[in-house]
Amino acid sequence: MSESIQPMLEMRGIRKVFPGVIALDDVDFDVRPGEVHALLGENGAGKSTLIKIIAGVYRRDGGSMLVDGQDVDFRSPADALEQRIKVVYQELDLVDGLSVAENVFLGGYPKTARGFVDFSALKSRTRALLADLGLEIDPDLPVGELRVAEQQMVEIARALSRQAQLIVMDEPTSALSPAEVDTLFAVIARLKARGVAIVYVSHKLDEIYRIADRVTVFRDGKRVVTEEVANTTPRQLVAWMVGRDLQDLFPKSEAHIGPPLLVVEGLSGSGLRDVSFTVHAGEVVGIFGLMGAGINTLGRVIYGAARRDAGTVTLDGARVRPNAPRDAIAKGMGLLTESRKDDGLVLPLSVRANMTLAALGRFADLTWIRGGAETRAAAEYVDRLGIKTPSLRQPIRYLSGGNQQKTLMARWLLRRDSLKLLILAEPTRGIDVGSKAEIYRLIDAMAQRGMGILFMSTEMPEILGIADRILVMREGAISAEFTRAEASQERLVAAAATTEPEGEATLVAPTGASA
Amino acid sequence: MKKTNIALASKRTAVWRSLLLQYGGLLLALLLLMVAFSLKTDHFLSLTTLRTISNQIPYAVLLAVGMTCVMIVGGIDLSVGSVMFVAAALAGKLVLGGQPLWLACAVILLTGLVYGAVNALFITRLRVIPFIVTLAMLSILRGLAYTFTDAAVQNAHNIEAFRAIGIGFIAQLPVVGRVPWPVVITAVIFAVFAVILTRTTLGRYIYAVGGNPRAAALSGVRVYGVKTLAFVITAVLAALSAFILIARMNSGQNNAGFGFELQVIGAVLLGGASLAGGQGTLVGTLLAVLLLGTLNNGIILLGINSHWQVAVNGFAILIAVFLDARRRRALGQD
Ligand SMILES: Nc1ncnc2c1ncn2[C@@H]1O[C@H](COP(=O)(O)OP(=O)(O)OP(=O)(O)O)[C@@H](O)[C@H]1O
Ligand SMILES: [Mg+2]
Repeated sequence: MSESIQPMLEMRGIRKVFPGVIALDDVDFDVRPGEVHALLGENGAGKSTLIKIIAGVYRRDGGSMLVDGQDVDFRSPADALEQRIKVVYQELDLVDGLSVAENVFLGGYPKTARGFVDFSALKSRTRALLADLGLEIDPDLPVGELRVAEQQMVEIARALSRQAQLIVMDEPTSALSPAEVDTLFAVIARLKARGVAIVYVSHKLDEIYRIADRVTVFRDGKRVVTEEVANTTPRQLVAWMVGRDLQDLFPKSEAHIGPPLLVVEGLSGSGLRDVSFTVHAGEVVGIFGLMGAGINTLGRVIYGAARRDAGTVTLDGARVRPNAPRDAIAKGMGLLTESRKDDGLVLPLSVRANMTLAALGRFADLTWIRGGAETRAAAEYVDRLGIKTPSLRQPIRYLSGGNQQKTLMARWLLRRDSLKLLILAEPTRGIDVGSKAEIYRLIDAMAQRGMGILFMSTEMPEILGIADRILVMREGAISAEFTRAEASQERLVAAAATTEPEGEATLVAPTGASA
Repeated sequence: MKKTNIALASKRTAVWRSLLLQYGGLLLALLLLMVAFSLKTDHFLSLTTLRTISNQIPYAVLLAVGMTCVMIVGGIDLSVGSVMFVAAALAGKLVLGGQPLWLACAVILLTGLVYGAVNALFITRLRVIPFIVTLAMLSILRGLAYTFTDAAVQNAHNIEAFRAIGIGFIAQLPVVGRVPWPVVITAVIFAVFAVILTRTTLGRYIYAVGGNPRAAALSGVRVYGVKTLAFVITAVLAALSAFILIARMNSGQNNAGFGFELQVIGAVLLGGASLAGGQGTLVGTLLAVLLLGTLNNGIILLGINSHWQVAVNGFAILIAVFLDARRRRALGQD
């Protein structure tokens, strides 16, 4: 261990309190130049809070913070940027209408002698920055037209344009395809080589082993341990996180496959091409595909949340009308969408109100809500899913990302009595390992009760772990079907891969940089 | 799994604390103003002043109740003042023409209903933003009403039929004395909507639609229906408040409802609603209306130039928006 190196950032005894929650309690943390330091912990453990303190979004309630050995106190993100610290959030804060170059130098455009913006310098410097990262993105393109992965790269380039010495990434890979993850990691390797310090938050252990040098594990706002990654095992990391040994990640009971439940025939529209398949009662059908293959669109079209141009959807013998989610719900469907903020959360409302939104009728006489019944039901799921919140009345916007996702999952679990088919799009995105196991267990239990489950995921291990049957999608059409026994990583990858190399025209993984 | 045992978490105290956090500022401001005004003038706390305020408050509260619903659902209604005006003119004309009072009442409530529905139609089906639709309505209604009432009605005073309601009282009550009808009607309507918003599925859906219409729709909420209802409620309450206003003034007035929309929006914002929707409560709105009412009254009692009243409303909006922005900043939501 290189104790002698001066840390780029050092935090001592950091404390942060929100009403009813101690988010961080006496936390020590440091990052060195050229190091990737991973943050790991259950949902609500305090990772994002620590990052927001580093970024100047929140002010700490206690403790001290040093940059290059100097005491600092950030009052705003601008202060942090001044100390060359930049955070790349999951919800990227780029300006959609502006070009790549304009975004990269936002707030500090190169000027001509006369004081006008020097557009040619702007462009060439942007191109140079991106080239440094091994990327080819057209500086003239509006950012709104880029894919998420590319936008992330623009954010990183923006950080470099401000000479950032510390770049923080909060769950950067949750919406990236495997190829895009490779590119990101190659870029991270280049940043390391330049001596940039990186703080990396992720729930994916394999990523931590691929890129991190050290890892700090949090539990309930406290630091459990900081350790060289090379000295740890995944099992140990999980045990530190959840405070006990995790037994079985994929609990899977013997499936009792019933009669056909959902029959989809010749579905097209919203980019789907003639999709047909059947889900049986009690069956978990996994839909696997790369980003952009249309797996999430499929769920939306079936549910009526995205446009259906042709084809039929039949649930338990009844035709489901196109483009009418209310009809789908009435016939017994539920949909957990992949875009939590846009389609799921009602941010100003409480945890309880968010949870019972789709099942409110259950707790109401005519229109009168029986508050006690509603509260009891919500409390039950807060306990079962281990949702961390100081109270049921807490506005959901104050929950951590993973706890928000669990609340949305509970929204449909509360309807289980009238639910026949549950469509889950990336239900474990942003969820910690321990809670994932709990969600898989719930899915399994619902299937046992005879419900049909349609499970969309871009993550292979979970699809392989819980699906009875797997359909693979490619370019809006189903390209292969495997039973649980037949399926394997290699087969899924082969069936999902596009003939052309997966739209990588603008995003070239740099060669030579080791990931 | 960990036991959170959230249901049992010290319920009562938590409720009070959050109430205090939410409304403490408004309540404090209200009390301070009252104390300040009563120190400055000898008769601020007299029964007459309370009467004056309670005379002015009812229609403002009715308008604000509707506006709160519309703003929670994520909309805004700039046309309430004009709806009031049209309703007042129409009622005056009918009663003058010898129609019975109940008919006039029914007609203007119906007008409110139709306006609300028309607003909602443009907003939900044609997807024009509420600001534009109701801004257009503001001018259209006022213009129409000017045309068809041709100034005759407005000068007819002392319509006997209105008097009973306008300055009538319900029976003598202990302590408070005689309570005017408008206050009673307003109190009942306020209570009904407070219950609807907090205790019924409809209320919950109003908040959900305002907070995130897409999420609400995917959870099975009738988004268009809820929006329509909110706009209809607002217009109907505006019409009703017109009725109370003309009853009190005992005339259909030329400028009835003029500029009310901004006063009311100011109060609702100050009461905790947000232009983004999904937020706001009737209690907050009521406190804000009382606060502004007291302020206006105090200005008159202190003999300050009454044009300040107009400015006060502008300040109220600015303060409300400032507080909202500061709260967001503190929570790191920007
Ligand atoms: N603005 C806020 N107001 C109140 N409580 C908050 C706020 N932000 C975070 N919290 C609480 O602080 C705790 C830590 O949250 P944080 O977002 O840091 O968790 P996290 O480790 O990032 O979790 P996840 O893995 O789910 O993203 C949580 O219990 C959360 O509810
Ligand atoms: Mg987080």
